[in-house]
Amino acid sequence: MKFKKIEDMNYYEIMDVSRSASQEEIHRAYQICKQAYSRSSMALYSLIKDAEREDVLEKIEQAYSVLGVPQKRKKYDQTVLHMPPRREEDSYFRTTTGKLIIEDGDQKKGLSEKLKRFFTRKKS
Amino acid sequence: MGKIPVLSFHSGSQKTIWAVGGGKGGTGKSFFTANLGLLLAQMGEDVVLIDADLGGPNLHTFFGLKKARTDLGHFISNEVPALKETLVPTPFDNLRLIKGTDDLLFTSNLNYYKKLKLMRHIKTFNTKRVVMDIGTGSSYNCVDFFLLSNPGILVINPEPTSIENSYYFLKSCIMRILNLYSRHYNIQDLFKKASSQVKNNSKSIYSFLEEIISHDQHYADLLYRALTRFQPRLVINKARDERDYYLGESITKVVQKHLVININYIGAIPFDEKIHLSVKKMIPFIHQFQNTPAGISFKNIAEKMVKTDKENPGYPP
Repeated sequence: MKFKKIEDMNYYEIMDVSRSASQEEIHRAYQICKQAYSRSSMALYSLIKDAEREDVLEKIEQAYSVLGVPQKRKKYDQTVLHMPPRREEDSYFRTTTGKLIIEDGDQKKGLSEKLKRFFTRKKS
Repeated sequence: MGKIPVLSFHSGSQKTIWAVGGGKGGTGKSFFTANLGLLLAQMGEDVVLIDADLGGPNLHTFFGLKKARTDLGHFISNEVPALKETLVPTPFDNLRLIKGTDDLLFTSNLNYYKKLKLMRHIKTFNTKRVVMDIGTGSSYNCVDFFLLSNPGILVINPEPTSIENSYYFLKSCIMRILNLYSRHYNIQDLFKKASSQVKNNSKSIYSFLEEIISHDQHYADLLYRALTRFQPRLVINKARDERDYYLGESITKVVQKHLVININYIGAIPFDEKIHLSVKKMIPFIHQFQNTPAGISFKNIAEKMVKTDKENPGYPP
């Protein structure tokens, strides 16, 4: 666990969302961040100077302009964060992924296969 | 290297000691403590409330109690050997109280080791749930009780004055943790250097760690890890509109970035005139008005505290 400067944070860290967050979660986090860093935000009272507030808000806008758009987010994940491609929420294959894995995996030997092998094995 | 008392205090203990603080006076800390205690008792838990507000204790008043034969002051001044002897019953089942002391002499006498002694005695209670009202201000008394609890609960109002004092209180807690760790790792010089830089340029904890990083990333990471264990809960009291409810979420976001700690927002209690009425009658609010919006919010908060405690028990930093 390392301490990171705000300028070293990636877009997910800036918006405080997990990398597997849904687009809805990202949008909600953006709304909260935007509210938190608005000029009239009471949450910032006595905490930071206005210049710092504007700087963070700019970073939040920048992060959302990428994470808020699925195609841009995918490209960011792959090229900047080097993450494996994320499963799309609306993918047609999502519900059948488990089946595909089973079909593509090693075939387990069933009872009939075991019986066949038992009766056909050679006597030593 | 020896253990830091704050670090090792709760190891192996299943008891939860929740300390209610918040910096500013009048935010409803005692009101919150009294009603949270009663709700937990109604949920079937054996609860002890401790009035550790050494400046102006009045937790007993919320239950209509006036005098007690012994109070916290008698234990602190060694007039009674065991804290258990100062426990008094309340009019409610499963709920007992240790009355605060209004003798101002004790406030200056309470050194760190007396606080540790108090916490050691609390650990001997045959009860799982202890809720402490630590009172107003950011003195060492308040800060240490808050840090020794698991976890501390910050009760604030949606007003700039309350928020300002709460941040000051949190910064005091954070600097206390950093100071203890700096002593533990024998890096007081680095701590002093970074502290002076922070004082000169900015007051944020973030800047402090930034300054430490410029000297030594390893120690910055160690101190950062210590801070991540400090996870106070947050309650917004006297919320009047939607913005006040969302304020808690905003605070968690900005505190995470600029004070470098994680706060867990557990809910808001709406403003209710009947609260004033219940205080005047000296009967806990939720005993009379459990089905009001404020009563329901209170119940949700109590349940969330218990649930969070089961899933992710807070430990002192």
